Amino acid sequence: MAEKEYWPSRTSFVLAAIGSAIGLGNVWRFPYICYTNGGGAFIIPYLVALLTAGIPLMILEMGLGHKFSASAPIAMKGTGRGKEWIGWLGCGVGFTIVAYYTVIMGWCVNYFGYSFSLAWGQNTEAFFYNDFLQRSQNLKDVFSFNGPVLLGLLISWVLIVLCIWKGAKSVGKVVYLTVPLPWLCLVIFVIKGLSLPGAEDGIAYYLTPNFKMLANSKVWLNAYGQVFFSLSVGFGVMMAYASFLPKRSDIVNNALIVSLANNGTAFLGGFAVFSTLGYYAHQTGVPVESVIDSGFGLAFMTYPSIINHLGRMAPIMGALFFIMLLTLAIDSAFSLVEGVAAGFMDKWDVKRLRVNFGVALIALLIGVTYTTRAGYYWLDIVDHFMNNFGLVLVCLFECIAIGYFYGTGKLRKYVNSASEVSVGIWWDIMIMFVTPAALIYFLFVEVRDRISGPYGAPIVDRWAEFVGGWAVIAVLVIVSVALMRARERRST
Amino acid sequence: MLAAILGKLPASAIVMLIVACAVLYGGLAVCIVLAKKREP
Repeated sequence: MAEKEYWPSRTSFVLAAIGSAIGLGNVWRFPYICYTNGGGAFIIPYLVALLTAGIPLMILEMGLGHKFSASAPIAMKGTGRGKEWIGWLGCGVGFTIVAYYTVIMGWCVNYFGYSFSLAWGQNTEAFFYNDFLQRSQNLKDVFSFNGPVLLGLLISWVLIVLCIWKGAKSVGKVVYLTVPLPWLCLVIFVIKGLSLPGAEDGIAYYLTPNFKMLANSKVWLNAYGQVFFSLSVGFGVMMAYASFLPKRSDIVNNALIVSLANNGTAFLGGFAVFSTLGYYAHQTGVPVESVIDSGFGLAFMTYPSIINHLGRMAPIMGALFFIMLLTLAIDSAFSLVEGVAAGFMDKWDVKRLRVNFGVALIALLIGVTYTTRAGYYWLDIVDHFMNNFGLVLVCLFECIAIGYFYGTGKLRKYVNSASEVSVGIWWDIMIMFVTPAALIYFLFVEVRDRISGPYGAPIVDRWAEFVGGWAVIAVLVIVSVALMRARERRST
Repeated sequence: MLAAILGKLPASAIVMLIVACAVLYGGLAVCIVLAKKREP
């Protein structure tokens, strides 16, 4: 059997876990969600969601990985018969996400190059959709590949494979660069953004609270959603990472550090985004509320427009922005690969190099479909279903498996025996009642929305939604059960 | 620069800013200090 891997130090583990949690969503999703859900008042549900769901789930995943010294499938198997598939499902969701996440990284690679000549011009929206993605008007154009996007995807995969070449050993070193670098870029953006004229208007939009919004259940739902999506729980990553910790190491305090660092970064990201939006509004005379955007719109359309107005600094700030996105994304991407690879290595004792290449190659081939002219639409559908169904289901099953079958008390006892900070009975209540209730409500609202119409209508019809959404979820569940039933090969 | 920004914010926004900073960054600082204490 292969020798057990360990992190070079506790700092390596914490940085790797933070790097996994902090991704593109911290910069391009949180500020928008915060603004549209009551501004400064959103801080209240956000912190409540973090304390009642995010941190408890993080402790659960790190605790399981550490206790069983195994990746998600084997750790879930350790909690009782018939539960291994939940771990595989988490790995499957992570694998599906990394297949398109690397395509977005490929976009960032291209935009990094475009920054030096501000190639996106004045009409950034037309450049992104027509010139860069060459997006088709329907979802059937899946055979015409986009060269630059394909090249960007290949570069992203080469970087990822290099980072995880030697597992915890190489990841433990790489994260000393890939975690502080985006923070540094973010701090530069915050300082630069706050020094620009009009920044104060943008910040006022970001932070001015609208307490009436707190009575709206949708606001609380969005707060829980933001916490679930941004912490990298549910993909098996935290279990795999915690399995590389030596037996005498902490769980609760590490989980707290990772969760607080992740949410703190998202909060800081809001200052970078809104200060520059305020500046843009000031320069163009357009109100802040009409330039606020999130996701691809913010990163590849609004931000390049803002960069155009930065004078001589524009190419440098553009390059810095896309380097920041790339480094934010890379450690999330390789952690997802690591989560899957660790599952195969634990169950079938396969060599790391072989698994890494296998996972990377299959994900790359799937990713190629997103580089076609219709790829954008498919990416959007799969992303929506993976986050809103895949991830939510895995977290819910984990809570049920631990809360109602394995026993929260048993895991809490183990977690406390290894930790600097102890968790009380409140953690059991969160895992058994509060977190599942939030997840079930989340699922209910999502199912209701999907019944009322397909995601991405009118371009996306029921057929496309089925292929890119429901069918993918069904395949993941079937594969997870099949992997659980496959015979284990572990030499002793 | 900071004074101009804070001056433009209503008191309720400043309170939320303080709460968020205290919980997120204050909490993080306490956890890091605890971890450092345990490290040999």
